[in-house]
Amino acid sequence: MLPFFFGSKKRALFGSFEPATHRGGAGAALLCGSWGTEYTNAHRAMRVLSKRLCAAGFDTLRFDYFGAGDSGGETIDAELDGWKNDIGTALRELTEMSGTSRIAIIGMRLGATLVVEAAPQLPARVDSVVLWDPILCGTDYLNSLQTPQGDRRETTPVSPMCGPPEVAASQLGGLLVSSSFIDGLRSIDLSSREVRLPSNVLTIFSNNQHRECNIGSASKDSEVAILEAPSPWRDSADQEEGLPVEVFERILKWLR
Amino acid sequence: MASVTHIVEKIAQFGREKGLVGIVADPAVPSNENRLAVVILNTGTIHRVGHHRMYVGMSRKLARTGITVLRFDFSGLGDSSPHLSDQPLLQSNLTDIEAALEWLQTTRGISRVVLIGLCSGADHAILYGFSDPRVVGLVLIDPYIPPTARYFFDYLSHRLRDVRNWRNFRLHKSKLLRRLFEHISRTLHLDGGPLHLEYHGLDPRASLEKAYEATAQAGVKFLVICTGQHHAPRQTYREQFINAFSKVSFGDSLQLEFFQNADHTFSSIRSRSELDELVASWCKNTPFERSTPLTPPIADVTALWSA
Repeated sequence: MLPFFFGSKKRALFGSFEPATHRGGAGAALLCGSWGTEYTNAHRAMRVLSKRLCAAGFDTLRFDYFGAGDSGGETIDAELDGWKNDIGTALRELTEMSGTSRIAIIGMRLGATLVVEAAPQLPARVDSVVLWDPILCGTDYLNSLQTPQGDRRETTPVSPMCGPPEVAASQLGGLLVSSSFIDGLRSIDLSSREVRLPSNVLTIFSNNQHRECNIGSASKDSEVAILEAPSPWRDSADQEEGLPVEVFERILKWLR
Repeated sequence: MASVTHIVEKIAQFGREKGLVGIVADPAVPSNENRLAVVILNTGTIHRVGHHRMYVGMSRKLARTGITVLRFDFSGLGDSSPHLSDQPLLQSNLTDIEAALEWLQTTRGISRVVLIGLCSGADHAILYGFSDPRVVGLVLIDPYIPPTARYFFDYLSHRLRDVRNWRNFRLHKSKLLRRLFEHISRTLHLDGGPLHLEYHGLDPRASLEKAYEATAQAGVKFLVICTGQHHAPRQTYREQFINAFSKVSFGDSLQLEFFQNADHTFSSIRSRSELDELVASWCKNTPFERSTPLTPPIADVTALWSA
C-alpha cells in the first residue's frame, strides 16, 4: 500500500493507493467514504473492501476529503461542492497511477450521494458506479446526527483555511462545520427526483434501510440490491455482527 | 518553545518492511533546543485520526508550539500492515511503539518523547514507558483504573437515583446486580481487567501498579486526565486514580485532571479544545528529565510483570 498526499498545496488530500495483487486487467476502483463518525467507524470496512478488490485484480484508491481524515484543512473548511471536486481530483490521480481506462467508483453513505451529484462533471469516463446506502434525504440525515450538544451555533465566528475570512459555525456530530455545509446537507434529495448516471449503477441498501429512490443508468445496466448486512458506519460498540461480507461479495460480483 | 504558524505534515512509514503507517506533523522551522516529540497511540480499534478527528487537531496544535508529533496505527489497525509475528497482540503493539521512537530518533534526531493515549492507548503507554529511556512523559487519558470503595458507592448511588433502573428492576430486567457483581469480581482479582491488558495469564491490576511505580521511579512525568461522562463509567471522582494506585510513590511527577463534563471520546468541541490546551501547556511547562536508573532498566513487560 502506498499512502501519499496529492492535490494542490492549498488543498492537500490524503490517499492510500493499493495496486492489484495480480495483473488481471480488472481495472481500477475509487473508494469514496462517508463523513464524521461514520467515516471513522467504517475505516476498517473500507480498507478490507479495498484489499478484496485488489485481490480481484483492481488497483484501488481510498482518500479523505479536504477538512476530513488525514487531509489538509479543518472541519470548518468542509463544503460539499469542494468534496465533489475532490472526487474528481482523486479520480484523475487514480487514472494516472493505474494507467487503466476501466474505472469504477464505490461510494458509501454520504460518499455515495456525492458520487451521484458529481457524476456529470467527472474528469474521466467511469464504467461502473456502486452506491452503498446513499444518503437520500438530507433532512433525515441531519436529524440522525443531532446530539444533545449538537447543532449549537458557536458564539464566536471562526476562520477557515479557505473561503471567506469568517463564517458562522455550528457543531454537528461533534465537529465544527460551516452553516453552508449544513445547508448543503439539508439540500440533499435523491428520493423525489429521477437520477440517471452515465455508468452502470449498482445501488445497495442494507439492514432494511431501503427507501424509494430512482437512481439508475442513462443507457447501461442498473440494479438495486437489498441485503441483510451489518452497517460498518454505526458506532463500533454496536458492530458485533462483523464485517459486511455480503456487501463486499455483491460489489465484486457486480464489477467482474 | 516559540509559537510557529506553519507546520508540515508528511507520511511516516516505518517498522518491519515499513508496514506501519502514520502522519508526522513537524514545525516548519524546528527549534534548536533539546527537541521533544509527541507520539499519539490508537484508541481501541479506531485509526490514527481518532474520534471526532481529535488527534489531527491535537497534533497540529502541538506542532504549532514547536513539537514534532507522530500519530500512527499499530499493526493490524488503520492503514498499517497486519501483524504477522507470533507475538501476543499486546507485545506486538509495544514493539510498534519502539519502532515509532526509533523512526523519530533516526529521521529527526529526537530522543525525548511524550506518549499520549486514550483508553487502551493510555494502557499501552504506561506499559511501554518505563522500558525506554527516550520516554520522558506520559499523557494518559482515561487509563484503566481499578474500582475503589468510593467508586462503588458513587456508582450505586447514581444507579439507584436513575428511575429507569427501578423500572427495569420491576420488569426483572435490571442489570444493576450483575454489573455490581462484575465490578466486585474484578476488585477481588477474579477478573483482572480489560481484555487488551491480558498477557500470558498475568494479573494486569498488580502489573499496572508495578509499571506505574517503575515509571515514576525513572523520573517520567505523568499527566493523567479522566472524564466524568463515560457511558459505562470506570471512574466517578477526581482522586480515584490516586486511591486505586495508593501504593505508588508518584511524588511531584503526577498532574491529575478531571474533565467532569467530557465524555470518553471527547465528542464536544469545547472539551477537545480544553484538552488540547492542557496538553500543550503541560508539554511546554513540564521540566522533562529522566533520571539515571540505579538498577539495570527492566527490559519489557514480561520482565516487569514476572518480577
